[in-house]
Amino acid sequence: MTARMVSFAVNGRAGSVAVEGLTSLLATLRDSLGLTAAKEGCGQGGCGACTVLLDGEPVLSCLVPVDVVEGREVTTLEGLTRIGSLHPLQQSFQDHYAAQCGFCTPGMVLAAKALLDRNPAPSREEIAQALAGNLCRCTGYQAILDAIEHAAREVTP
Amino acid sequence: MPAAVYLPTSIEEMVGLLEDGDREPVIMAGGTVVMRLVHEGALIPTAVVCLSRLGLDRITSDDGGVRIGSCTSLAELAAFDAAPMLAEAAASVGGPALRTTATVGGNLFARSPYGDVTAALLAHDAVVEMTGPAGSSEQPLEDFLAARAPRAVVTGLRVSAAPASTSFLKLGRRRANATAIVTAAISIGEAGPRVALVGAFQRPRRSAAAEEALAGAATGARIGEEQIEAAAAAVAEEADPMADAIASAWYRRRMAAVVVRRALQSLGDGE
Repeated sequence: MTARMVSFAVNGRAGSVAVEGLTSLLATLRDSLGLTAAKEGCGQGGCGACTVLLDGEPVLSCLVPVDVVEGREVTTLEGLTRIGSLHPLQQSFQDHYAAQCGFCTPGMVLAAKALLDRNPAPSREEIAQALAGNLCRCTGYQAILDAIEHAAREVTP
Repeated sequence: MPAAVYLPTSIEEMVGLLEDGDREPVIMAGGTVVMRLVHEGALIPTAVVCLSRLGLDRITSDDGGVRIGSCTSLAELAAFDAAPMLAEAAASVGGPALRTTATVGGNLFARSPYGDVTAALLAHDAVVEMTGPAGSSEQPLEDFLAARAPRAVVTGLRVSAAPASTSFLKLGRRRANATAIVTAAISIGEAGPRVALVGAFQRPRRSAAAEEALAGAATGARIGEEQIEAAAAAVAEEADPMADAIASAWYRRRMAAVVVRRALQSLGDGE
């Protein structure tokens, strides 16, 4: 079985990955590219811990066959900011204690980023709807919603 | 042995892939059905044909009706205001990230108790368009769900634009990102009442008994309480619900009546 090449950009850098068989984008990010922020929480598309952005739109990378990202732009949490500084969303999560174990956090932050890119001044209900696909077992969600509300106010002029 | 993965760029190429081999290849659109089954070990494909490069992701409408490409994302259908019940059904599935890649066609094949979009399509008397080595054909969705042709790929679904009062109600364990306990998609139009359900039977299906109880109901008119109760009772009687980790059959039977009653009571709201 020969490997096939899939070419796509991750966090602004173009590259190619050798792939065999039916491989998910999540497995490619974690195992081939060492980008481990995206997590496997369920493998079923129910928890959102694997959320990344594909051409700016949130996707469940555990369910995305890597072939369909050919020629497209993937954004992971690692791409949100340079090492040594925090994106306003990350800073706000930290300030509001919106992460406990941190497992859901990468997916939450990217789902929030996708929301704020599309709707810079969301209501709390709109934030909750945008994060409907992201489960958290630790925080009870309120701190996460607080963090995103605050970040929205910060980022919007 | 890793699966062979094909991404045909033309219908002809796709049909050629369906003709080869003793075993039918696994068909994949967005991947949300297939990848999950593979992760769970329920599906171990040797060949996968991915439909994402075939341009089957358009919604087109004219006076006759609406044609939805089978690879249209649920996110796109959820934003399609011209078909409000279909949009509402699509918006009820999963969360935003799932809806980006999940497709309308894929919902036809998602195992029960999934199939909320399928139920809404049933309520609209959808027709399934297919193509394969035997050529192109079409079939009413109700018949397709009962027995689908092998080696035929769904390319699109057509619904008419005839006016109707519609109501969609999904009951899950959560307000969002939840599998259906029971979903009701109801339409009262010129062709008569349509009551399509998820969870009340072993697959998305219309309730003939409920539709009979609603005979004579007119588009746009409020349905009387007696007739609503008769329809709800008819569903509870006719139901053959599935049991799973989400809900027992007993509970689904009870909730089928409740959901149908509430959906009928809110028919025409907001129209």
